[in-house]
Formats: sequence, C-alpha cells, structure tokens
Amino acid sequence: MTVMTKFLRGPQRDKLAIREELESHLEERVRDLMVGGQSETVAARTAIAELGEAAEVARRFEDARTQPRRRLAMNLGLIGLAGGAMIMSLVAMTQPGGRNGASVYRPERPDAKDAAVEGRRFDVSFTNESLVDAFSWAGQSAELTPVVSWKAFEAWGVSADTQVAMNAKQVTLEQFFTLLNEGAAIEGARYDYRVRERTLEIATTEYFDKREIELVCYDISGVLPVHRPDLEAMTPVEMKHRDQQLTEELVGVITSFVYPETWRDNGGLYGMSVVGSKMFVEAPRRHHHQIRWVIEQFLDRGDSGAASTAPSTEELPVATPRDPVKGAPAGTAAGGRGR
Amino acid sequence: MEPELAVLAVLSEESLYGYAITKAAAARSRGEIKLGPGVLYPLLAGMEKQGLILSTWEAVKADPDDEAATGRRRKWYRLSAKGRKRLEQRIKAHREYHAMMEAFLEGGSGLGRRAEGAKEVGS
Repeated sequence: MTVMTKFLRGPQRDKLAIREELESHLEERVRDLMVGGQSETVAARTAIAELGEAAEVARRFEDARTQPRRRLAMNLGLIGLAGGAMIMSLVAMTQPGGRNGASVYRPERPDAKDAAVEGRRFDVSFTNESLVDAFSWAGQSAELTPVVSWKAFEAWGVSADTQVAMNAKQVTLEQFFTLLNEGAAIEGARYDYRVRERTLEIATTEYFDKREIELVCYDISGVLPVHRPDLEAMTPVEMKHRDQQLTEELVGVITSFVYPETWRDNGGLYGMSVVGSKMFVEAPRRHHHQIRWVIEQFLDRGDSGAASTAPSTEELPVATPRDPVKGAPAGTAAGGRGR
Repeated sequence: MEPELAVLAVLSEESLYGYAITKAAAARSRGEIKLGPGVLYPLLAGMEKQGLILSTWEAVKADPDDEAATGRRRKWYRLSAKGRKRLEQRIKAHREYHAMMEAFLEGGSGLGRRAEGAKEVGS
C-alpha cells in the first residue's frame, strides 16, 4: 500500500483518502476470506493479488483524476458538431465513399497468426507439469521457439514453476491456449501468444494489446442527422441535440459492449474523443474490428438513403465461436440473406 | 458487464461503500460480476469526478462496545441525479443493442442487406 501511495499523484489529502479506502477494503476482504476458511496469510495474499499491480492501479486513479480534461476535449468536439453542419456536409461531399471508412495509424504492425502453424496439432498430457515445460512442449510441437514474457504474469502470481494440468489430444496452438486459460482459474487471467519468424511469443492479452495499439480516426458524419433526408426539417437547435444524443449513444454502445473493462472511463487503458464528425479511438487492434461494426449499425438506422449506409471497404472480422459480436457481420456477409 | 453500469445499478437501490458495492454486484449477478478493487476504486473516483455519484465519509468504530474506540473511516457512495440519468441512458442503450442483436440473429433486420453491400464492394 505504501508503494501504491508513492505511485499516486495529486494532493496528499486525496492520496491518504485513497489509501484509507483501499486498506479498509483489504481488511474486510481478508476477514471474509478467513471466514471462508483461508488462513490469514493466504487470505492476505489473495486480497493483495486481487488489488493488482500497484503502478497499474495508481495509473487508473491518475486517469480518473485527470479525466475532466479529456471530457472537455470531447465536449468541444460536440460543440463543433453543433456548429458545424455546413462543414460536415462538406466532409460528406468530399468523401462520398469513405463515410465509415477508417484511416489507420499503426505504430507497430503485429503479425497475424500463421496459418501453417495454426494447422499443426499435438497431444498434451500434463498432470503436474511446470508452466515453463508446458510452453516448451507447445513450442516444440509447433516447431517454434518459445519466448515467454514472465514479467507479464507476475500480477497473477504466476511464474515458470506454476503447475499445470492438461489432457487433450490433437489440439492446435490456439486450442492449447484456450485450455490453459480455462484451467487457470485466475480472475482476469488470459494467456495469449503471437507467432513471429518461427518464434512463439507468450504473454498476456493485455501485454499484446499494449503493443498493438492503433490510433484510428473514424468518420462518423454518416451517423449524424444532417445527412438524413428524413430529418432535414430539423431546426438547428433540434439538430444540435440530436447530434449530441447520437454521438453519446455511439460512445456509450462502444464503451458498453466492445471490451468494456478496457476503456479509461471503466478503469482501463484505452480512450476515444469526438472532434467534429471525427471519432479518434486509441485502442488495440482487436477493439477496432468491433468498433467498425458498431458504427455500421448506427449508420443503418432504417434510413433508405444509400449514401449513409456506404459499406466499409475494410475487411470485416472473422467469426469465431468465442466472439459472436465480432463475427456477426462477416458471417452474414458470406452466407446470410440470399439475393 | 461494464463495471460502471454495475456500479450505477447497485447504487440506484441504496447507498453503499466500496467493498459493499463489490459484494452487492456479485450477489446480484450470482457471482458473475467481479469488481476487483484495482478497477472499482479508480472507477468510483472517476464517477465521482464526473458527478455521477456523491460520497460521504463515516467513522467506523474499531470496537462497537467501546464509545472511545476510534477506527477506520468508510466512504459511502450514492447516486446523483446525473448518475440516475446516466443509468437510464445505459439501460436504454443496452436494451436497444440487444433488440438489434435479436433482430439480426433472426434475420429480420436490415443488416443482411448491409452486409451484402459490404461483400459487393469488398469483392
């Protein structure tokens, strides 16, 4: 807790209040765990592990403390929306095919999963194997050299010696990690991997997320009523309210359904700002696939104007059983409603 | 489920302190919603900053039988009018989304037509 307080910024009074609140929480949690049968030592360790890494929690507090500045940026964007009907029309006219297209800035290009590697299958039979041996076996079976970021697992209390039990036949690398995650029974834990030049990189999903952040500018002018023929009769004031409502709804849906816990407002790392008819989203690649889809749903609000429903030319996400939302549009596009 | 929505929902019924929010959210979701302290308290700080929730400190006696015993303080949270409005908006957005998904999965929405369009352009 002392370490955490050192990481915190802001007035001393606020830091002490946070410390007091967290200590109170930990005390009660330890008491409850002990009532549940844990020894005091184990209960204390569990409660502290649940709190997470001190620096990370302090950063979340810092985000909460400074968030009015971000909100101001967004509100300025909304004012821009209200006053910028003409400008938005211009944007719409100059970007006829790109209303819901996205220009992407990629600080780093992550490698896609290797199809040849994904197709390779192997048996696993671990009773009390160490995690390092399990990773070595997976790497060897997929003919890859494993490189593990052990530091990424520290917050979970996981190390190379952590015991693993797993029994399955003919699994792919992806299935191996799915089984590992299902068997881990650590709250929030998610082992993940990337294949890069015959190397099997192993870390957490959060680790790869941070590495694969993309700042994407979405053109959301098609979401706004100025482009809706059925709403052209609106007064400027009505239009302003409608603009704000639609933008808030869009942001609300994204932060509610696209990996909700990862957004800054919900204690996560990633954020977005609306400026005029542009929505800037800084988030990992896996988020953007879903965000594109959500924006498309907003564009398709029963309006018959073809212009506002211009489809994205970007590749839609591939359906996976674990991610039905992400997969919905692609699945429908390929084999859904016949013409 | 989104942590902010969970907090708004449990506070819409009663004032609670942090740990009690965690327990209320877990109880209400049969253990599915786990608001860890590392997420909950920064979230509460942010929500308070936004005016969605209001807080008051209350002294908790170390020993209930000892008048002089001083213990920790506890921070109680309650929903503000703005928070109540936010909750209503979130619930509305949530229901609209699910209605849209239901319509989509039943094949009755316009999404199929949109997706076909996407295929045409992409191909």
